[in-house]
Amino acid sequence: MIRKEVTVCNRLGLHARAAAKLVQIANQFQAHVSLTTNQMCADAKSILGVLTLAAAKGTPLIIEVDGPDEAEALSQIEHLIQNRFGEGE
Amino acid sequence: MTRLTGTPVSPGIAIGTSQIILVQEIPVVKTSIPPEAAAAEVERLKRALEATIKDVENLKERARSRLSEDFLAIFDAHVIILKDPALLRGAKARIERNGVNAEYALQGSIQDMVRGLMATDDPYFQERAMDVEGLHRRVQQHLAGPLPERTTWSSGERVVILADTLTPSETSTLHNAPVVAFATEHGARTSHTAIIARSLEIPAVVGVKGLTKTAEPHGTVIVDGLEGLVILNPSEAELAEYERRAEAYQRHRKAILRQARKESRTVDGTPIRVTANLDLADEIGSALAAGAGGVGLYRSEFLFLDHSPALPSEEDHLGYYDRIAQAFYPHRVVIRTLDLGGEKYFHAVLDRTERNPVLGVRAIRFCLRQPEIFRTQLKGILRASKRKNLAILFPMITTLQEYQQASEHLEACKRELKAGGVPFDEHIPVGIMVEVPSCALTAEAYAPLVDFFSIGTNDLIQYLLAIDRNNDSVAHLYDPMHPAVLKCIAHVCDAAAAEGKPVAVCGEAAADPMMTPLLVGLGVSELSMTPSSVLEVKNHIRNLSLRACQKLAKKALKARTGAEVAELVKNAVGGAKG
Repeated sequence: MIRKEVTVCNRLGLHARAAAKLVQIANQFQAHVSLTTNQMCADAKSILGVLTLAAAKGTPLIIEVDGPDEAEALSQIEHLIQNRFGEGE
Repeated sequence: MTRLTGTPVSPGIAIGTSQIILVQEIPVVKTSIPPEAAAAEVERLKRALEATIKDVENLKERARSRLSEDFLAIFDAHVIILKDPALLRGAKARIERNGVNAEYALQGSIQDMVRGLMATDDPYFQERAMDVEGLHRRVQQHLAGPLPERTTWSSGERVVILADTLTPSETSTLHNAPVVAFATEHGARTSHTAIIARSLEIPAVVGVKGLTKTAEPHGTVIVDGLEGLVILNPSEAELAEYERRAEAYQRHRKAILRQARKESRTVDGTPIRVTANLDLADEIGSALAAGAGGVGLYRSEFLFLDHSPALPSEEDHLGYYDRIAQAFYPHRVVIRTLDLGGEKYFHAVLDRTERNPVLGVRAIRFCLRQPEIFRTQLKGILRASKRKNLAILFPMITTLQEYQQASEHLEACKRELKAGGVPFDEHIPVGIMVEVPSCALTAEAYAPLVDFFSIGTNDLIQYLLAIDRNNDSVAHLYDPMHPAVLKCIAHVCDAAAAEGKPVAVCGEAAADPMMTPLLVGLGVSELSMTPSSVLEVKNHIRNLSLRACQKLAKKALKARTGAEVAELVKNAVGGAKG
């Protein structure tokens, strides 16, 4: 199991499009992926869970990945968030 | 025989056998499952979910070449929802703990999902929650065992889909079906059914009240997408008549399609540009296929509605406009700046407490009060203008001061981009939309300043004749041929001509064949309309003589009523045609 803390840095936070992208990437891996804010924890493969986090810009997020392909999964998810979900600014 | 009427959203005439699809009412029977059979029951549900995901993915593949990325993203959202572990987990718990069957367990879990999505505060997924009903039905169909879906159809079979409403996943049940027409009880021009029908070029009528109650499965149905008619169980005589009409339409269509690329000039050689009104990027394909000479009106509202409650960023604007500018290059694309407000469009940034929004803070009034939103859009347009085929249109200008203020914002944006070294079209044409009578009557004040005029007849008529078109009690008074309307248009055309500036018309009147000779005769040089009307109007113009149209317009301006004008046009049709 590996974990990493990142900060949501896109202007709109984990809104529809961003959440959908994140779930789509998580779904590509076998590993279990969870996202934790200081309020709650969600399964990154659950769109309902990710939307419920309602993580706005600036929210610190702990990504925990557990499974055979965890390293690649973490790297891609981290890249997506750091890259502001490809939204530009 | 039953005749029902609705809104025609895709032209053509088709006759076929009805196939009824109801999204509402999914009959789910509750049965008990013994603990030892629970595992197999969960497995059965898993397979049904997987099969549904496959259906949606297949549909997306089939639609890929026809629909835009934004539209395709809806299919992705459906897949994500179906794959949500909470859905299966919830159903599994019900099967194991409550000892119920997969169908019943799924229904409960789906309801949780809909409630959950509705509670997220995310308008995009709240809208998808509505779609979940359609997805649910599909999973239930898979659970029902051997798929009801037919994959083979006898040759010559023609299916007419009658439905209350069609969601993307509902459409997936039509995989391979020889669908010749759609008719739905609900829906509008921009609904899913309308877009699909137009892209498949088959007739469709939406908003047909009483359709699913009256229609019987496997009956004979005529769908007339020209008149907005659905005829159930037609008589022999009617069938023969519509077969003739369908054939005639096909022939006519083929003939005018051959000329799609040809310019539209009157018989005496005056070019009249026919362009498209676009709401969604989805319609780019059909507008191009119809031979639209550019976009006379791109309604940017949909870009805003799509992002609600957030606002589109400069990059979002740039992306949209760049795509359209590229698709139509070298033809011109006119981007109307945000026309939010009024009776049609809602967005979280609007004040919903206005008592009379049509006369309230809408369009340019809203933009001038929210310069940040306005400038973000203007910069997006400017950055997308490097091919030099974009133009800017300010909506609902009422006073010269509004135009000057809007222009100052535009100049400020240009300076900002220039300072940043960003390339853009420094001479991007700027026009105003004439839709308020005060603007039409003082057109000479604007003529030296603007590059072009675009008359929005829908709003102009509404303001000029004091008609709320959505109010059934006064809707019949709405009359584009009212002499007051013609006088306003004539005044704008004269003022523009004195400064050598062109005038376009972009309301529904532009696509009305009765109005075409009048508008051409008054001096309008561009008609912008819904893409499905472009071919017809281009063809119509090639049969008109400018001189005859001018004579007709002169007479019409002296008429006392709209009925008198209509009479003049009818009598002149022979004369106006070359």
